[in-house]
Amino acid sequence: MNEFGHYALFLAWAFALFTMCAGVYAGVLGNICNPKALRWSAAVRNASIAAAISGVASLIALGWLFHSDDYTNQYVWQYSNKEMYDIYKVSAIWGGMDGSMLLWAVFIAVCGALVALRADRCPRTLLPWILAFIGSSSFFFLTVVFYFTNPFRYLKAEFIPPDGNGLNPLLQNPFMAVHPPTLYVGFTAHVVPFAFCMAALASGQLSNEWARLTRRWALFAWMFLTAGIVMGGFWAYVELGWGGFWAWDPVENSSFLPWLTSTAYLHSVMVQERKNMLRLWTVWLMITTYLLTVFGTFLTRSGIVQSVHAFASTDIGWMFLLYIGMVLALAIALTLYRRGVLFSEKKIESFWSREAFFLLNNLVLLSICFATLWGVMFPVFSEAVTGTKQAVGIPYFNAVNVPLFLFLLLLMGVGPMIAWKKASLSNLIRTFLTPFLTALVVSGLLVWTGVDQLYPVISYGLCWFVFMTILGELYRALRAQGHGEDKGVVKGAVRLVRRHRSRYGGYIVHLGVLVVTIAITASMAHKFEQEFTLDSGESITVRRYKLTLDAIEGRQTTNYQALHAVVSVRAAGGSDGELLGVLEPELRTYFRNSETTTEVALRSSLRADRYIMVSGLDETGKRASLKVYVNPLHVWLWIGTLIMVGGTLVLLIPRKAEARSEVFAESLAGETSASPQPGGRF
Amino acid sequence: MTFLIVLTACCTLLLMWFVLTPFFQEETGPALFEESGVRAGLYDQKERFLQVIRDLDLDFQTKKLSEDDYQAMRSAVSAELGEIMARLDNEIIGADSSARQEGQTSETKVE
Repeated sequence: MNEFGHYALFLAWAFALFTMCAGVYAGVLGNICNPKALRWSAAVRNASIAAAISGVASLIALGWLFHSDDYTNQYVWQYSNKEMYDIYKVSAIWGGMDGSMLLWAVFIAVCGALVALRADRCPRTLLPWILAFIGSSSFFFLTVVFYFTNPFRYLKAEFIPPDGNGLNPLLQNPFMAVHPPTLYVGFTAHVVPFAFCMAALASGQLSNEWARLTRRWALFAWMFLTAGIVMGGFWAYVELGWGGFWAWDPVENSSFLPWLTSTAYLHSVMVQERKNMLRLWTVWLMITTYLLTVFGTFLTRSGIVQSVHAFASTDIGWMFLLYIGMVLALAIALTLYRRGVLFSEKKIESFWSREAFFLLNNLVLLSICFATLWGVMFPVFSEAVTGTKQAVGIPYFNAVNVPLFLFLLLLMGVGPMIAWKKASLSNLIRTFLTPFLTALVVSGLLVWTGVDQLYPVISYGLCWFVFMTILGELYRALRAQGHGEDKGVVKGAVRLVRRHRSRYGGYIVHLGVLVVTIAITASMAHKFEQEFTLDSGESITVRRYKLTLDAIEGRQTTNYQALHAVVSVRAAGGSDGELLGVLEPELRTYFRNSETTTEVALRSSLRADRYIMVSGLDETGKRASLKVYVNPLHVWLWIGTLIMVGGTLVLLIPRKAEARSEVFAESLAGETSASPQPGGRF
Repeated sequence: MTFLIVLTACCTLLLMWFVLTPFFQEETGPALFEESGVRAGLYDQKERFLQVIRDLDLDFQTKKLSEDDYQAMRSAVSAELGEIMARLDNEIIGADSSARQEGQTSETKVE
């Protein structure tokens, strides 16, 4: 099976090489009505599919090696052992660098195949270029895998070991089975809009079509990237035991950077589509997003930054830098070559317009991106200049990014609601006066009830402001279209969302962002933590909870030995307060590598998370040091993310054929009849 | 082991045939651009434009756009929509005429 996997990988590499070279050749031939160009394009399309099939075969082969505990394979021996549960053997496929690179390369190849399978939906002149660019990305990653991080190498040993090393205990968490693939889908799916964008540059077909055709891909990639990042945060929350979910770690940041530029792209492309402006800007946002996904891989795997998530230091960093340099040079050259078509003559007419606020939103997102990138790279720069590596920590990132995020929140409330071209004063007053005044009242109430920190007050106030603008928008739309009166508000709102999916899907995403923001603000500003030591049977009161250490018990599985503290949580006040639950944090010692990990015990409610971990046990085994965190509203972080994903799904789901024809008929009727009246009904 | 080697060799040959087959076909056009697929792509784009027009209508109804701005933006989007509709018409007419030609050819063969 090892040879089969290796061979399948070689085939994938060869087909990707063919796709890249033949794609460029077919693209240069140009006119696809020419039979020669058509034949080459068809071959390129088939090669893209063949590369994906071969890549998936190699991934299945690696999975099979893990499943069959084949320790002749070095990678399997390094990241698996017989005692591991099957789900962790799946996680082990991408638990090390070699497998994770293979997964990445295969995902890119699959993206290429999906585009190839729907080749007939691509503009004919763009198709060979699109497949060539996806092929080139696939070829690069497959080259790295095949020559430098090949997971199909034999173990160099005189005998086959009876058992393997096992996966890092920190990665033995069910979330590790889904978090990396989700994140990688988010990263790799960006290759499609990037390839369309580069193909448009290469072919000169720089109308808005490339952006329109890749809208779903960009949303799909963004959705997976969002979900992947938050899943990573959840893993850190339950596994690393420090009570938080985001530490501005370089590897976390490396996934956050392309998310920021991708978000900027999704907003910028709307301006391009509606107003035929910001074409150059949009093109470069997509190129930057793609390059940042590759840069993230470089950061994680080159060893230039220290992180709990980083893979071991390797010597493949130069390849990534070379690739990034080549793509950047090509993109700059093509931009200069096509500058005449890219520069738009249209100008933003007024600051008080949607296009101006979307551009401002882009600038803030890029500022956050730059500040984060600077923080990530600062140790490298400082070492180059002073010879000493100086890292920047959480305080730097929070000090710079929190105000920028708050400004972004304000823009999120204003941007989508303001008029295109130029907003009138009456429009501004009608849209924003009530949300602004009520936000002031909410902020004042918060200060009055004891919230004394500036940023949380601003954050909650802005969340209220944005919420009210969305609500106001919905109310005005319902009134204007008369949906709310005859069929009820809920039915009217549902009909409105269905008719204006792209707009209200976006608002749903924004509502999700608000929920996430409130959760993050609450857990940052009102978090409570306390460390203490208890004897068996002893109690302590922590805020509204009375914690009793009932017992310390041991247990053993095939993989590890654990000592867990049994802690009962009661409502404080009186000796027999209501039992809220029993939490059992653990200290685990893994047999294979004698590593000790802490397993937190977590009880979530809509109001707060109660989070306990064992920080130490004394020799008698009857006294434990415990650390307790009370994280208010924390669960809303995950709920908010689900709302964001749900909103993106609303944007992604295609309309049914019958709905299309209904809308088309309506539109035709609208075209022939008079224009709708402002403030009135059809 | 031998079975796996034979299977791998067969799969390789199959994939290579799959990739190279367009070079041995007289006409590869229909295989690369299925008319239904092209039309589906154009329908998607048309739907996107209709969505933009509906959103503009809503902006106008909720008094976010002045009459002049609304008319200017709507006619710009309508022009692009018209372009897509024309391409769609061409595809449909092309498909009809090729279907008619095929029908005539088969009738001639039968005769």
